[in-house]
This record gives sequence, C-alpha cells and structure tokens, in this order.
Amino acid sequence: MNIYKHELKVNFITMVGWTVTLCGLVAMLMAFYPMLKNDLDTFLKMLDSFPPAIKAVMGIAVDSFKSPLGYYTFAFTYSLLFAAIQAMNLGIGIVSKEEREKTADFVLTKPASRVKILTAKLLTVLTVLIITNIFYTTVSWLFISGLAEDGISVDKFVLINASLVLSQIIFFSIGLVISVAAKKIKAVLPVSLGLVFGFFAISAFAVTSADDKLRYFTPFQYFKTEHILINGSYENAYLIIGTAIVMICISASYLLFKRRDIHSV
Amino acid sequence: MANVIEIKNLTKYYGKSKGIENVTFNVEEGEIFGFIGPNGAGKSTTIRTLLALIYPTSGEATIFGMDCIKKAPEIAKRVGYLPSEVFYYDGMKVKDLLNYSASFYKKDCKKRINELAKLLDLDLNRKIDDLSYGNKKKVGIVQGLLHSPDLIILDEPTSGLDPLMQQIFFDLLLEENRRGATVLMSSHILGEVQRLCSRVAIIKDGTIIKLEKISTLQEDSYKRIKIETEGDVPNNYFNIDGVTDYKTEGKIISFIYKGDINMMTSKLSGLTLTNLFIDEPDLEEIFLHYYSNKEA
Repeated sequence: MNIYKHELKVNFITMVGWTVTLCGLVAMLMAFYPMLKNDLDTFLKMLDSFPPAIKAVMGIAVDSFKSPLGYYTFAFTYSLLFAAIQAMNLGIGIVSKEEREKTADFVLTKPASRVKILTAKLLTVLTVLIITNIFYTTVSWLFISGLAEDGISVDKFVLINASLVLSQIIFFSIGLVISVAAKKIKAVLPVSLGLVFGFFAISAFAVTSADDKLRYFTPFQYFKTEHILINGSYENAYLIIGTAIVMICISASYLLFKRRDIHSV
Repeated sequence: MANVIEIKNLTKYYGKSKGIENVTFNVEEGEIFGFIGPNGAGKSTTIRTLLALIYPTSGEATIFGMDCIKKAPEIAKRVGYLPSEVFYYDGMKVKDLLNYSASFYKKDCKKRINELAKLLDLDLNRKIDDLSYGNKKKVGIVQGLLHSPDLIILDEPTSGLDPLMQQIFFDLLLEENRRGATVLMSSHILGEVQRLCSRVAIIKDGTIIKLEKISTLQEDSYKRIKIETEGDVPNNYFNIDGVTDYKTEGKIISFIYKGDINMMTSKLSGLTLTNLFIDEPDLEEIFLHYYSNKEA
C-alpha cells in the first residue's frame, strides 16, 4: 500500500499532463464539428477526393461524418494514438525508471518482495489509466451529447470509449515486458514513441492493404470503430488475442522481474 | 558465536565475464567485518548478491540463517543498507523520503529519524535534489539506520563525507555495534577498515585471497614514504626488509614501507632531509606490491 501511494504521487503530474492533453485534443477536434456540419456537403466532397489510402490512414469515413458519433470515431483515431503513447510510456518507464534513476537499490532492499513491488506498480498504472479515461470519457460525452440533435447510441459510445482503456492496457503490457526483458532502457520516450509509431505504421498498412492478417500485429486494429458503429460489438477474435497478449506479457514480466539482476551504477 | 552471514562458494558470472568466484566467508554476530579489495574486485557483486539485488550463478548465502534470495523480504526487515552512491526520487523532501523508507518497517521510526538527523546535522525539510553530495549521503545513512537494524551493510560508506562527518559516522556505527548490530562494510581504503573492523576479508579479481583478524593486519602497517634529500643517498641505504616499489628521481626518493616504524625513523634520521611525506598507500598499491607478488 505504501508503494502504491508513493507511485501515485510520483506519477501524478504526468497523469494530469496526459489527461489534459487527451481531453484538449478531443475537445478541439469535436469543436470543428459544428462548422463542418454547416458545409458538410462541400466538405465531404473535398474529403472524398482524397486517395482512399490517405482516408483510411487518417480515419476518415465520409459516410459516417454525418453523425456526431461517426465524426467522433475520426477524432478517436487520434485520441487512441496519444493514449497509446501514454500507456507505452508507463509500460516502458514504470520499472526501468527506478534503475535509471538508481532508486532501485533503495526500494528493492526494503522488506517488500519483488512480486509485491510489481503488483503495486501495476495497480498504480491501472489507477492512472482509469482516472485519465474517466476525464476523457466525460469530456468527449459532453461534446457528443451537446452536438447531437437526435439521440445517440449510448451503447456504441461506451463500447468505443472502453476500447481506449482496453487498448492502453495492451500497449502498457507490451511496454512492460520489453522494459524488463531489455538489459537497459536508456530513455523512455524514444523507445516508446518508436514502438507506438511502429504499431501505427503497421496499422496504416493493415487498413490500406487487403490483407486482414496484418491486423493481428497491431493493437491499434483490435477494436475497429467501424465495426462497433455497424454491429454494436467488438470482434471476438481480436478480443481474445488482446486478452492473451496482456496475460502473457504480464506473467512474463513477473517472471523476468523476479529474476532480474539490478546492477550498480 | 553464531554467524549472521554465511557465504558458501558464491559465484556470479555476468555472461562469460567473471564477477566473483567461490567466495566463502562468515560474519559473526556482533562483529564489524571489513570487506576490502581494489575497485572492481567483486565487493559490490558480493554485497548485491547478499541483498538479492543480483542472482548468484552458483553457491549460496544465508543471513540470519535464511537463504538470502528466497527469504529476501523477511531478511530485509532486519537489515539496513547504505549503497555507495545514493540517488533518490526527484522532487522529494528529505522528510518524505525518510517517511517512505520508514513505511516499509512495522515500527515507529519517527524518534530515531530525528535523532539521526540531529546527530548528522541534516535538514529534514530540504529537497533532496538541492542537497550536496555529502548531504545526500547523510540521507542514505539515516535511511539505512532508522529502523535500528540487526545487520548493517555498507558499500564504500565514506566516499563523499568530509573527515569530520566521517568521524561522526564511524562513532555512530560503533554505537550501533554496541547496541548489538553486526556490521559488514566494504572499502578500498585500508585505513578506515583498520580503524573500525575486527576482521577482514580481502578480495581480488573476484576471489577471496585472505581472511584475517585486523590485529594481524595492523602489524602490517603500510606507509608510502617520499623524501627529498640534500645530499646523495647510497643506493643500498634503504635495502631493508619491508621496502618495495623503490624509486629515485633526482633527489626525490619514494617507496612503500611495511614494518616497524621506529626502524624507519631511525633510518631517516641518518639523512639530511629537505622534505618528507608519509602517506597511507591506497589498497591498489599495496595489492600491487605485496599480495600480487606473493601470489606469483
């Protein structure tokens, strides 16, 4: 419990930063919608002239722009990108920063097992992600409900937004296992940005190519908003893969962290 | 007397490079045990294995009769550790860090924290980031002692402390020792080990080369002597037992001496000196000229 409290304190400022960024981003993108709606037809025509590949990568689905929720899925593409970076930063950093800042010697020689320490860190991350998502969901809901003239599907909105935190958990797990498997992480941001943009690039290939198999290799594609909008559900296959990745990464992290050599300065 | 620490054939390889090999020694309850050797000899590797920070390749070590890896959290309750270099969380105040440290132990450490801070002249309300190296080190000392541990493990404890603070720190260690705490300290400075410890283990290139009572070592008092003379000194003037690393450079002569000091002073009084330096050679020098020769 003391480790959890300490970790929350340490991660608080960064959490506020990411929460403000994500909320600001979705607020800004959603604020365009009223302007866009007035000139929807000309705008859609212009968008439609974009090459299909660009449209796909940017998350532009012309048909769905007519409804606020549809337009929101476009804004969501970018929210997800930022959220993924937040989660990946946490994954790469939460354990490795203690070694980099040489505080590992301190905490690991206290009467707390490594399992306990890692568990406290995982709970911290979960808390941080949940708090971020509560604010994000509140802000995005305020905009969507404010912009919608007729009712919107709450179910679909919830499914879309829940996919944000679910994707974050997947990104986090991948980051965590990489950080405890790596000999040394010199800096968090380059590694995590590299990974996230790598996954984003795969995602771009996946949507532009006809090859559906590519989707398995990027968490960006596990919860497709188009699918949610049409079917009001997630795709089971990807839900299973996502769960499996999280379970494998987290268990592997425990095993690796338990056996990890903490080198001196 | 019971052994607090028992180390048996402890070996650690980092990949293919050797860290330590077949390290074996015991530390008895209530003693101050010194662990000395040149930098990179394996002191930290041994200590970090005892603390379960690194995993041994083979061999085993127990503390309080418990396996130091399997029972690490249990052992840690009664161990205080001061690393050679201290770094703590950004933006934290000394007070917050110490309270965080205390929160791991199931006892009230407030009183002890204040006592120690007063003794070491440490301001609890300052931010750790703003502290000088020596003051950070003090935070490390308080952090390691605030729960009145039964075993204190120190890795190169005095680097960065001024001589006055070093004395206060040594007194503190001796007091803890009188209270009943066993102390294991590593160092590459023979002098400080000689002052504090009752027994030492000497490690070199990852293996223990000597395990000695400090009284024996004290007889081996090493001095680095450097003199400047007025006239010429006969070549064989210092050709006596215990002189090594003999070098002349114009009128300057330097060597390491191990043996009776009076013998040396009488020898020196036979010369007309313009200058004289007597220093404690560091361990590397001693190793270079004594232990390595003996081995060979």
